[in-house]
Amino acid sequence: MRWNAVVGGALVGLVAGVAALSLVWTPHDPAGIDVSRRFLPASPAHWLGTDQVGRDVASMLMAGAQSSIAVALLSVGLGASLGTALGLLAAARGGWVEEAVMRLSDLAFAFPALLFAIMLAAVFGPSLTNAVLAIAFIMVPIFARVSRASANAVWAREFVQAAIAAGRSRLGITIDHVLPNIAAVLMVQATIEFAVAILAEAALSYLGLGVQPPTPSWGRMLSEAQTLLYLAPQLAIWPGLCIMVAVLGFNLMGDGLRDATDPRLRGVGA
Amino acid sequence: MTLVSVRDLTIAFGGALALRALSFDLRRGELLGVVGESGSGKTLAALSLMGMAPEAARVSGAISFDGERVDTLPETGWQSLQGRRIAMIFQEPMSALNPLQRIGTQITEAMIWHEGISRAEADARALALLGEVGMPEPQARLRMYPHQLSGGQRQRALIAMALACNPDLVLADEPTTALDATRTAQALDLLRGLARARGMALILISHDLAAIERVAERMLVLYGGDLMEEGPVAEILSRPAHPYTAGLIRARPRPRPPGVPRRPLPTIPGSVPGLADLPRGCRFHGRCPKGRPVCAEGRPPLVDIAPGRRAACLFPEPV
Repeated sequence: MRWNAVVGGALVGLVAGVAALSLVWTPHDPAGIDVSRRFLPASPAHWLGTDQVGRDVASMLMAGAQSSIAVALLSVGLGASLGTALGLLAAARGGWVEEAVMRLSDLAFAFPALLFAIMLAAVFGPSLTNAVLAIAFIMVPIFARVSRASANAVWAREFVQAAIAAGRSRLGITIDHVLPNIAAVLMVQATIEFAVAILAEAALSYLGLGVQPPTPSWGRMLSEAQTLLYLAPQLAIWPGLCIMVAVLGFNLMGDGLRDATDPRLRGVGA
Repeated sequence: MTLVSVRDLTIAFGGALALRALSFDLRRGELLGVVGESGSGKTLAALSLMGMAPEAARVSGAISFDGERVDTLPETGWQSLQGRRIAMIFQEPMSALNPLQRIGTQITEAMIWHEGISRAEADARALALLGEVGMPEPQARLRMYPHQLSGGQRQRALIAMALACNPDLVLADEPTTALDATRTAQALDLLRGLARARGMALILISHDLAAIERVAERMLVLYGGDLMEEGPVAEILSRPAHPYTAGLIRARPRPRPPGVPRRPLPTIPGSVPGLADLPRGCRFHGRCPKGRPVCAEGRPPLVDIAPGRRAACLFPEPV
């Protein structure tokens, strides 16, 4: 086992575990405002102290992990499904269909995701759903490209020719032969994109385009702490650290998985 | 009775003719060998019979299968023939099997799709097939993945896959290149025996005259996209009419009897011309020991030189 996969897996496990735990228990109500207990330092009662309106920082961070994981899971799931379907279609049909799908991907790539999120928020109002849609929108062309490139490589292999010679349709070959053979690549890509999605969710929440109050989110905690940097820098440090740990965890895990599934990096001939 | 009839099959890539007006017939249950070097067009001809000519190729001419034109069929029309009535055995037993699927799944794939039978029934048939192709411990092999099988066993699995729907015609494109000499002989004998037992026609494509001799009754000799010679295998090998065939036969390695001095293996001078610079006239004239200026003027017609034998040469050897 590779060290990066182990460390990454541990960090991801930590974030996911905390998010799961926060569903049933947090030390305090993460939305519980108490102005008499503002800016308390860390103590056994408030592990990481309280913020400018007296909310317990540790509880907010725990609940904030939920938002990050939920948005990342939904947006990567949505983006990967749609993008992979398009990429597989492009590889299976070739010709103008492939051209059209790939040029549309280029177009989507060129379109700034943040702009798309602001547009969505302007039209439908800021919400978790719109944050998910905006991040999924970034994911679609990424997965379309990755899956098309890998699928094309599989289509060129002899066992696919054998399946054609056995009279299978392109759809049947795609499902039975192509998809299983690119699953590892997609899994690695999804893990890495998880990190991107967590970062994007934090950015959108920071701008007020993501999860809405009172639901806690790391990005909004950062933006609220921004004006208080000189007064209470720890309020910015903690959510920043959480974002860093989550992103680092998914990136390391993605790298580790890629190393484990790529025979060239394992030193074994393909 | 004619199973396959090919008329003036021409395959071009851009302006280059990879196959020039190939015509031949195949009877039901006939064992046909196609011999030729790399670039002779033999694989392209086989792929066309499968409806799998490369997309970049311009294909003209007519192919009939069991009395019906098939070259004009759309992709879905071919799909009902592929694997069911015409099957193909691929070259490389490792890469022609999906590494992520069990052998049993791959053998039953065509049956389940073409005949809509249940998994249990398909499994039973796959088991019988593996027995028929001489797979040791077929029950256990059905559950294995390709990497768990030896090269010879994988080749047997490929043969079983091709036979899954009891096709009328099997195309085998260099099916033994990946095997050693003993396995090659076994696989060829197996193919011949299975084709005979099932009354199945077989087209064996090979650059190896020994393989053709072992399996086929009749053979086609292709060079540079042209059919050079056609006839019964035994007759062609003992009395070739075309100088190219004669050169091929001379260049066969033979065991040297004890006491006979070592001699260099005869070769055909020159090398196979590329697709882009195929010579005019007879494709072979530049390398031909009997080549004369007239050979470059036009393509020599394929003429009957003996009962059942045709050759495309202006100066054929007497047969």
